[in-house]
Amino acid sequence: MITSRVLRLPRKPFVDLDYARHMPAAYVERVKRTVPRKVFGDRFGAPDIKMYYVHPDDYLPSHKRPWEDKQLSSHLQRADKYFSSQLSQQFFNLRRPKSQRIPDTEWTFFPGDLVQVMVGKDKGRQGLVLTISRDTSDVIVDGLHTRLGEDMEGSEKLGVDKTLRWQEQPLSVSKKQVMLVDPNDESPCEARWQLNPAGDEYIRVSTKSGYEIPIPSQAKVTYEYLQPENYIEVEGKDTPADAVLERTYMPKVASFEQEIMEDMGIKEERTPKPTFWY
Amino acid sequence: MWRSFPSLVSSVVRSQNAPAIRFSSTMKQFFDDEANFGKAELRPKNRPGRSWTEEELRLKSNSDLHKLWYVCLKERNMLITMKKAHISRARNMPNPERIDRVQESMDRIEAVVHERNDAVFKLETGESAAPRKRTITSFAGFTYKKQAIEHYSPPEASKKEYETPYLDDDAYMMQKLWQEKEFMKNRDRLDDEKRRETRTEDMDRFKRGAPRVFNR
Repeated sequence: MITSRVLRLPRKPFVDLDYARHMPAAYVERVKRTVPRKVFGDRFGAPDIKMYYVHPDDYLPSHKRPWEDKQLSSHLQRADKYFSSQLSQQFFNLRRPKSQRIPDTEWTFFPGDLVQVMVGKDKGRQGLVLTISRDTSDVIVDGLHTRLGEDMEGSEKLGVDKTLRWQEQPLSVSKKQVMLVDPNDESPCEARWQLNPAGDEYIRVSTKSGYEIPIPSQAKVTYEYLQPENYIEVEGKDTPADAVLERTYMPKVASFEQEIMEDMGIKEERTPKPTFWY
Repeated sequence: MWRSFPSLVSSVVRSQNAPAIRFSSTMKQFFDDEANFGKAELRPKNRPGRSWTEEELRLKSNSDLHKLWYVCLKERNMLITMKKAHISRARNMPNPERIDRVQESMDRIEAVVHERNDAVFKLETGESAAPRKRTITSFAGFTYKKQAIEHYSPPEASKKEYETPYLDDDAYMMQKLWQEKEFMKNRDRLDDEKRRETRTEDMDRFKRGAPRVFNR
């Protein structure tokens, strides 16, 4: 006999860890501008024609969030450029970024991890991961691999003094510019996901020594909260967590409309005439 | 230069409605909390959380979903009003993703209600709750699924469309040419892709073309 315990698959909680985890997909697509400007549909069976703001093949992912001011304005500029070239019937070269996204189940870097920089002026130094970018397979390490850059570009035009600041530059994971640090001997290592002894969850272990590299708590940070249990519920807007998980559904052989009518005391005695669907 | 936002909103309302109508509590439901006016980004204390997931909505009874739908609808109306007010004043709305969050919740409520109706309809009538679709052939020769429309009277001879196994001359020619065009477009696309793959970084950097290869 098959029990439910056998059917239960081991959990892979790391797949969901993302800063933008709860951001609505429609909003992210909209700020990326990779949405159709106009869809010419209903073409008697021929496929729709879509005119995009920014063609999906033209979208260049960055380590910055797409809804940040600078990113958003660059998307808008690109959309303008694309549209003007479409209006004047000019050739527009789509950028088609080549970077391959590492699958969720193979990605092993999270914010808060101790990593070692393998290239550049900080080669061999270790630091904590500030942010990760899945689209570009990039990692930003706190205080390492920096470049002196302008804090606010174009500030001199506005009559404000130019301020310079050390800005962390992204380090590529796929090119192995950063590596995780083995907790055993504090040397760079690679990691993989492996079932824990209990067999119900995947853990991250170093391939070199087999030691577990625990996932830092900072990996759970999203736009909404720092830790899920510390989330501040907005009164009047958010449904309290215990009310959300309360079960009120009792299955019944009645459609949604019938049940609502019954609840509201609406009685329908007319019998509908037969209709024709074509 | 910077005028406070509450006065702006009320001035919008006053100008649109006759002065007799005051900014009543009913009208107030169309506007956001005044603490949120003029903010670039809402404070975490005032920032609503994520949308409902389908798993959570499946726990809720039909009457709860019905109520939740109207809660979401009111919230969406409020957010759209605020968006409009911000646009008319050339300002950015704080946290515009709230609209998408509400919309996502509403879409999921619809999906869960459809799921339940579908189960009941299939059990009782054997038919799905999804709108009926018919396979038809258009004048251009495409055979595709089209949503059927409900009518009071049976179809006239020429009104109802069907799927036809044999196309007439025009449709046949159209399909021939269409397929040829699609084939050529696809061939060119594959060709371009191949060329793009062979292109190296150096070629872009030094503005060099790909090496010429004869008898490929």
